[in-house]
Formats: sequence, structure tokens, C-alpha cells
Amino acid sequence: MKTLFTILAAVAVVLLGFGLYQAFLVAPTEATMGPVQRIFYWHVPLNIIGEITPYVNMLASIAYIFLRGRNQLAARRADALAVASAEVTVLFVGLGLIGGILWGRPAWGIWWAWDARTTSTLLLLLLYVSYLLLRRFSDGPGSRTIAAVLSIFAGVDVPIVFMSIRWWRTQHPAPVLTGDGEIDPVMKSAFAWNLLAFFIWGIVLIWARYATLRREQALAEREALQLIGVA
Amino acid sequence: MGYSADSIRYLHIAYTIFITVQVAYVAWLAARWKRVTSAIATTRPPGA
Amino acid sequence: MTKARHYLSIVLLHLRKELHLEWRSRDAITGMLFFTLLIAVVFSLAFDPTSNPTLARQISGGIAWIGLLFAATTSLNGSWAREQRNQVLDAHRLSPAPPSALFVGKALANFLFVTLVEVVLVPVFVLFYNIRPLGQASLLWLILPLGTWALVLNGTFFSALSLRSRNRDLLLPLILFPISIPALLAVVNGTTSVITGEFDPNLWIRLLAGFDIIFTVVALLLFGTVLHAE
Repeated sequence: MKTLFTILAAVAVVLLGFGLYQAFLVAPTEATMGPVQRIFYWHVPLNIIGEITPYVNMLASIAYIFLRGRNQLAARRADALAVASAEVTVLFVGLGLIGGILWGRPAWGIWWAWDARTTSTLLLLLLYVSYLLLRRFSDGPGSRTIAAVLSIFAGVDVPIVFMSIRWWRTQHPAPVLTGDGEIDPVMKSAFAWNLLAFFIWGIVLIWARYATLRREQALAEREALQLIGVA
Repeated sequence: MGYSADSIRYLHIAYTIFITVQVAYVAWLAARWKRVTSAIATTRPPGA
Repeated sequence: MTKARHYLSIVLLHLRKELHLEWRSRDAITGMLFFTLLIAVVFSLAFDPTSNPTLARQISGGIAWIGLLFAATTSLNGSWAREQRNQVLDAHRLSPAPPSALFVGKALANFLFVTLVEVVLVPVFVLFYNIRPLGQASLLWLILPLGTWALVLNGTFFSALSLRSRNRDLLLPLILFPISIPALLAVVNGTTSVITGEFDPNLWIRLLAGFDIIFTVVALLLFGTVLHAE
């Protein structure tokens, strides 16, 4: 397992570097937006992966609720996976938003346009920040179950958020991201490399966080056992 | 080319933030991993 | 059939208990009422409703609902904190009655309280902000209950959820607001459309109804898990 992780991490880092090279040196400069369009090569993959990880979080939480009375070990694993994926969601979506803001200023002339995509992504970020806050605020027995319940609520909420914001904002002319114009195939391939890089990088980060959490769980267990004098 | 200087500046700021934040996250993870690993080494395993 | 009737009788029992408790003190209703009233006054300082009638029309719906949301948040915590005293919650856990009946009873009681607050507040808002609805006012009979249920349902559920945390009062809005944003958006837009008559509220009513149905089901399914979390 450890070698697999090392290999995966190495592949991710190399791919990220290659993706940067593609984005900055290979892909042509976009005609209307200029160099700032190159933000997309990381901004879009970050957001795409950040919209998948919430479902990892929700599925892991459902698994936790299902397993907690049956198989303690598997339940703890599911719980660690849920936290890891929520954290990576916040990291990726947060970075994606920052990229969007920095792109919006030169391209649209304003930092924040409240268009459909930006707004729903912000709400997605808020949902998972609130999940992490709940984990922070409550500890002890029961907190895992409660966090899992919130995660299910959040997972159910995500599609509703996206739908409702789209309805809300379609009444306004929203700037279109790429338009219907033809996209240069070199741009496409640069984008695809970056997407692949972030997919693997996301797995690596979740894995690393998961492994850390598992160790922390094991440590807490040992300390608890020592406290009651079993060990 | 006539692109505004802003265009390039914001591009650089964005990638600086992307990379810095992710490197910081990885560093934080590594620190956490180190701390928990050394803590586990000093506590006795259950039943030992 | 008897099972459903049994369930209903337990829900009614909880509801009656809640109403009885509230009737004794009337804390929650008085508090919420005054709180929302204060919000209406404070917001009217931020802009001048008399000289900007169009603006007042456009934002008063939003102000009313945000005030209600804040007010409900302050009082919802109390509705569960009451159960913690004298280990009532543990008794609920041991009881063979279905846990979701407890939740439904409490949510219905909170629904009635917030509705009562609304009944008092609507005339106040009409008065303060000089509102004359330009849309189909009868639709409010649909929008108000649906919106209130969305707000109260999640609020009751999440205040049960945050019972076990440290700083519970802080946590409730932090987890309630992000989840409720689609419902808040729908109810604010629906109300605004009735007041301004500028657009069609059907879409928002449907969204509200969908939100209510989905989250009622999820809450009923998961409440037992929350109550028995240990």
C-alpha cells in the first residue's frame, strides 16, 4: 500500500508539473481574454474535482451510519474517509473560487459577479465548511454520527443549490465562460492533462489525510485504553 | 500583444496562491502525520 | 391503520405538550415577535422606505424572512434545551415510541409558533414599509406555510443535531443557514414576486414544495439516528 501511495503521489506531482508546462508554455494565448485565461487550466479542474468529492463524503457518511453498529473498524474507516474528502472539497473549491475571483477582475471588470456558477460554488464551499466546523465543535461519542447526518443533508442539498441558483440567475445575463467558439485542440489537451493531474492529486491528498486520521483514531483509542487501565 | 498588464499580473497571483496553499496543506498534513506517528511510538499498544 | 393512528396520537401528544409548555411561559413567541420587529425597524434605518417605495417593495420580503430566520434560530435552541433538563432526552431514548414522532411533534409546534409570529408581523411590515402587493396576494397562503415549514423543519432538526456540541448556540446558525439557502432563496423570491408583481412565483413555489418534501423525508429517516447517537 505504501509503495502504491508513493508511486501515485509521484505521478500526481509530475503530472501537475507537466500540466503547468502545458498551461503556460504549450497552450496558445486566448484571443479575447489574454494570458489571464490560463487560470482556467487549474481553476476548472479544481472545481470539477471539488464537486465530486462531496459525494465521496456523503457515501462514506452513509456507510458510516450503516456500519457503526455492525463493524467498528469499517465504520471508522468510512468516517476518516468522510472527513478527508470534506477537507479536500473545501481546499479545492476554495482555491477554485479564488482563481475565479482573480480571473473575474481582468475579464469581467469586477471581482465577484454573483453569476450562477460562482454563487452555487460559494454555497457548496459554505456547506462543507459548516460540516468541518461541526466536527470541530463537537467531540466525544456521537459526534461522528451527527456529522454523518449533516453530511447526508449537505449531499442532498448540493443538487438543490445548483438547480435553484441556476433558476435564480438565469433572469440575469450571465457572462458565459467559454462560449460556443471553437476551442483550440492544444488548449483542450492541456486542459485534459491538468484534469487528469488533479484527479490523481485529489486521490493522493484524500489518501494522505485518511491515513493521518486513521493513525489519530488509533492513538485516541490507545490513550483511552491506557486511561481506563486496560493496556 | 497589447494585453493589459493586469491580465498577466492576476494570472501570476492566481498560480502563486494555488501552489502556495496546496504546498501549505501538504506541509500541514506532513506535520500532523509526524506528530501522530511519534505519539503512537511512545504509547504502548493495547494489550502490551 | 392502527399503526398510523398510534403514530399520529403520539405526534399529537408531543404537540400538545409543546403547546402547553409554550403557553405557560410564552417566551419563544414573545422573543421571536420582538426580535423580528426589531429587525424591521433596524433595516428601515439602513434605507428610507418612504422615499424609495420601489426599493422597499423589492427588499421588504427578504428582510421579513431573514428576520424570521434569525428569530427562529434564537428560539429553536431552547426547544431542545428544555429536553435536556432532568434527563428528559434520555427518557425519550428509552421510550418505545417512534423517535420521529417526537421530532414531528416538536417541528409542528415550532411551525405554529413561527406562523403566529408571521400573522402579527405581516401587517406590521405592510405598515412600516408602505407595501401594497402588486402580485397575486392569495399566493401568500401557499408561500408562507411552505417557507415556514422549510425553515422550521431544518431548524428543529439541526438544533437537535447540535445539542451535543460545545457552543451549541453558535453552531446552530452555522449549520442551518448554508443548508437552508435554497429554501430561503425560494421563499424570498416568492414573497417578493407577490409584492412587486414583477415575475411569476410558480417556479419558486415548486422549488419550496420540493425542498419541503425532500428534507421532511430525510429528517424523518435520520432523526432516530440523531436521537440515539452515542
